[in-house]
Amino acid sequence: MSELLTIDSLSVRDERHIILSGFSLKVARGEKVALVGESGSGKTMSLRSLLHILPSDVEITSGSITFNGTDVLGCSARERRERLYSRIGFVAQNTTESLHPLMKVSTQLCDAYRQRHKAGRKEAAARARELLVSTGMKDADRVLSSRAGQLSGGMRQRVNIASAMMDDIDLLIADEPTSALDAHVRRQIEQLYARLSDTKQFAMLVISHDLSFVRSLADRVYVMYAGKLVEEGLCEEIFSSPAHPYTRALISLGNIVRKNKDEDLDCLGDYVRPVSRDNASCAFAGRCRESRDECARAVSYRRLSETHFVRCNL
Amino acid sequence: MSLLECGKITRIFQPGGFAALKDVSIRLEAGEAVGIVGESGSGKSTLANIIGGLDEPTSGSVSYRGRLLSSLSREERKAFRRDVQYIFQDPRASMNPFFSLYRVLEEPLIINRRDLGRQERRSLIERTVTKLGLEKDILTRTAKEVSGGQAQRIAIARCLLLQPGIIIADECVSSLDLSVQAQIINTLRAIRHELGTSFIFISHDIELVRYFCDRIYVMLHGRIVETLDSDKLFTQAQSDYTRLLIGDSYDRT
Repeated sequence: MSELLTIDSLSVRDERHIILSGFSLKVARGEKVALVGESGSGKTMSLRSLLHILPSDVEITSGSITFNGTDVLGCSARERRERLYSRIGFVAQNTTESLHPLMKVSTQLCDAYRQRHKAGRKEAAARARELLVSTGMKDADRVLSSRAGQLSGGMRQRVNIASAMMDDIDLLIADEPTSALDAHVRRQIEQLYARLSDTKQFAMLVISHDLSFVRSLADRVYVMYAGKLVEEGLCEEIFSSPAHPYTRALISLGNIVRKNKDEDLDCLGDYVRPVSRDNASCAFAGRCRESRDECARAVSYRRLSETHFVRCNL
Repeated sequence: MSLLECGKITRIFQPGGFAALKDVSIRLEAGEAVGIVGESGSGKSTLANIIGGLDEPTSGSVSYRGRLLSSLSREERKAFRRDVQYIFQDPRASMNPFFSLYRVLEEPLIINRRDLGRQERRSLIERTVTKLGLEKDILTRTAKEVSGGQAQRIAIARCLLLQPGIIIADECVSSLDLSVQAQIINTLRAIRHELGTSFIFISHDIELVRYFCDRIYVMLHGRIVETLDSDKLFTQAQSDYTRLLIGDSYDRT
């Protein structure tokens, strides 16, 4: 498969903390990739580095990002618009904030497309309508003439997804697309992503802490912790033979259905602590049930198979 | 006599407008944890606000230990407010962003526990946060400077300081990571068992409600469509809507 996106040894920091350290990720054309980890592990920051929307006090200290052959970190703003923004669709975590509540849905979907493609009103509207229908939106015409503030959470998700697909994209990025939704709306949106993944040609990069969703969607999975990858592999490698204790812990969380009321829920204890100095030992050791003395020694990113890598000494 | 009882509550926000709640009746017994599930817009939070006296119903009644809320004297109402504490979804939104977390915690004590001196307040606050697994030095920070899970535990500490009989938890873990969710839920369960606190636990996550609560009310469009014991959720749910909500989890058992 030919490569679409390559993030190579990216390091990002702010004044006090290391946010990403030697982070590498690849997405091939058409491939569905998931990035998982808890809040504070650096998932969102890696996306923001790619899209050039880092907060002002955060800087990239080394590494490179290549998308479709373009050097993303080195290119001009114009190149970024033409080669990056028009080829990547982005569905933000908070779909309420990413739509203007008082602006008509049709305007929000069509404006950027019309400018970029010098397209007429009718052409853009037809495309918007077709995409909304493809997201399973009933009553697309009424939605197009509504204001975003009048729509429900599930409908706003669909509008956002349609909006991300307005351009002819190579990559769809979704940041926690299902976490803020009610149970059965969440199921509908999960099914929608699964359908898009089957029917559309573009690649997907999905950030999520919902592992059942990831499992149903992704070809490959990256697991990150405190700014570093701790494991990557094909979806079945990650779920049937997880090699890192952190991956195993994440998978065991959320099995609440099978819990009796007299047992406590599984948890990792504590939370992801920000790292202020680059350290070759394992960042997860403090929370790891299996940690031993050798965890304080330098950990390398080991290869277990052609596709499966892990950062753990055990 | 129930600890808390709502009878036929209807809430209409604008005259002639639609009813956010229609004829809702629920009760909470002492020591019980009652769950309210339903999706956004079903009226869960409106009901929570009315139960705790933050909002008033258009019609219907709320009684606390057998007495109508509307008939309580000023002093009794203050005691009620102290006895019923909230934990909200976004802990930071309920804290002054310029206050140190210590000040966030001290304020309700200054208002409600006039019997305590400065030193006693300090030791009570420090004991409470330590019990929740937080370090004392966190108290010098503001709500923005701590993680979501830490901020939520500060919100729980604030609620426990007043030793309430009833805690209303409104989507109190939905914005958190699974692991942090589990920590918070374990903490709340320990509180329940140690102190016998009653809970009204509101969530859109029916699996979590089943696990945490004794009884469940299922809400849809401002009405209660089903009430059942949480142990019987998977086996005895009657209404189509409840079945829709449990659909996924049901398959997994």
